[in-house]
Amino acid sequence: MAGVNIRSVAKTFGETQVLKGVDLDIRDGEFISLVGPSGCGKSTLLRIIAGLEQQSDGNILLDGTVVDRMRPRDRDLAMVFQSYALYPHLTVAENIAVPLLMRRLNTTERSLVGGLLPSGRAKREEIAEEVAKVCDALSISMLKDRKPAALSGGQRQRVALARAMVRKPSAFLMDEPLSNLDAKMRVQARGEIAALHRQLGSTFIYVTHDQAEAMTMSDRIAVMMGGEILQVDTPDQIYQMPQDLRVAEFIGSPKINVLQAAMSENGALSLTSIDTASNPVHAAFRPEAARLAGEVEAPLGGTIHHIENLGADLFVQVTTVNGDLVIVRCDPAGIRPAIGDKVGIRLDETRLHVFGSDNRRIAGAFRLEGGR
Amino acid sequence: MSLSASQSRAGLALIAPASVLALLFLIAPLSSIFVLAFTDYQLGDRSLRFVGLGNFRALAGDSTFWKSLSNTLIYSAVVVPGSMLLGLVSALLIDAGTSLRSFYRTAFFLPVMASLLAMAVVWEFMLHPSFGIVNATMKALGFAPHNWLKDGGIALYVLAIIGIWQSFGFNMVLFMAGLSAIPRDLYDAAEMDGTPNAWARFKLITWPLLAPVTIFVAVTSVIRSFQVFDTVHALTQGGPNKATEVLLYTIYAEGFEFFRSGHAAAITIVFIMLVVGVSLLRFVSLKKNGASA
Repeated sequence: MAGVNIRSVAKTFGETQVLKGVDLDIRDGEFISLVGPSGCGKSTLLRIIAGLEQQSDGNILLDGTVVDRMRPRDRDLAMVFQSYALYPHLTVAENIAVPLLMRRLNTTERSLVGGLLPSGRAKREEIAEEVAKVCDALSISMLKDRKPAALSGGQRQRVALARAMVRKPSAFLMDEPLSNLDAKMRVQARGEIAALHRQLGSTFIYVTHDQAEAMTMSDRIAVMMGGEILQVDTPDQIYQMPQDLRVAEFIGSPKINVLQAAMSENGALSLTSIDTASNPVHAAFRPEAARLAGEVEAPLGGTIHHIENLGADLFVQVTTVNGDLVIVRCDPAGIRPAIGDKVGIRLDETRLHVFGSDNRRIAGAFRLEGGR
Repeated sequence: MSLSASQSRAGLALIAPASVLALLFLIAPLSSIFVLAFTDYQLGDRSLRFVGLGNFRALAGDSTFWKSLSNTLIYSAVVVPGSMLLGLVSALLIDAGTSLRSFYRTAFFLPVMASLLAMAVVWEFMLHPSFGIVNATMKALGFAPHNWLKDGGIALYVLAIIGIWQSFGFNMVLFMAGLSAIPRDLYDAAEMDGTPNAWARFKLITWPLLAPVTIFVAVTSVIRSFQVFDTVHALTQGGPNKATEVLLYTIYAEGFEFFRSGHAAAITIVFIMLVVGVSLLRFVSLKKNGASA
């Protein structure tokens, strides 16, 4: 069990700055996701925590101890790789046994003659038992004698998980472990990993570019972009109170609607007369915070350009008079709009987010001006 | 699936050039060697006579042949492990290093590309008993100088060292190709799994995953070492007192110095059998690997 503290960690590769002084406190037993687009530095940060990469600046603390100079072996962390990194020439059982063999057996016991030493043999039997236990827990016992090449993607992922679990590390690091699975398997594996976290109670640090994985599994999410952490919060807060326009845009599917807006002194927003704006801002609202209305009385209007029917939801894409694309969620049970219809869009003003030109959230209540 | 007549005609036409060339330059010479091995043909003779296994019987009682065969095997036994080990170690070092990689690669590969005959002349100078740099160094370090190429006890091993120098670069390049095919992730995983040192990582990942390359390198090294000729011809001519007589040199001497073509052909058959035997070993081991993977 260990909390992880990241203190202004920076990393440069030659000229490029991959991490620009990241601070993050991960609580003991927490499931935290590092989420962001590719190249945002999330994997680099994970590798620095693991000790596979050395930071250019800053400190990593495990359980309150600075581990900057410590090798991965001594940090008591386990990692699941995107490629799973299973040893292709070893069977499933042998793969899972490696972390135990490497730590418990000395050089002689690991060598060819080691099997003859009584001490080595006793340890090997003990290890085989623990491997069997982990295999049972993940229901991969029937795969024990297979080589990784003979496994499906989902099975490999479980074996990689088993290899990480077998040592009972203080924290798990996961580098996009589900990205090689098909969509169906991914949803199933998401549930399994979350359940595993609840069962083990260990710290999980989970790197992903998939906001759905981050939202569904995490206690907290750290959204990273351009080598910085933009916001660390619970999934609810990240979704409902994004502190940065880039966070708002990254989290949520379909994407949040972002429109240019003009804000007057008294906090009134105009989505239409933006050319003369003294104070240009971004107004953002999620598809479910908007609804279709009659053409005249709405603050925003346009033509329906496309309708995505997902069964439970209808996502109506409206091209506004300004040429922006706005997505509105509709209830499929209601009146079905048709492509080409001219519609108005009404917004729930309490769920309207306003971001300044520096992408930061502008707090306060806003009122939309209707006039068109 | 059956082919139409025009398709099979086209197929035959396409393989015809290669077949003709193979027949002309590979199968025909090979079969004539097989025929010659059972005759008493001498280079330049107008007639020949079949002697059955006579040439082989003569070989069995020929001390030069046995000396030559055992020298070839000794040479091989030194050069193959030497050039493989040196090739693997240099490949690992270059792979682990970050700077000057292409320089080292080129430098170590140079002897493979250079004409061995020309290089042999350089070695001859270096090994010269009175003004060679090797003896000069030995003297400077306080060791007794040697007549490297004229001492029957060490001449073969000197040639073997030149052989290692010449061929390890080739093995190195093959090993480097093998190393680059090993996913980096595996080493990261091994690091996380707690491998205590580089040797443990080598044993866990590098060595087993290089196995197919190693088998290939071993077989090609053995075959190449059987084919040693240039250095022997340039430096020792099989001497002193047949101490460096090797199969290919014996074939050459029998065939083109003593003109006993039948005899030379018989030794060639033995040589071919050796090479084919080694190749079969590789074939078998590849099949075994293929079945278990």
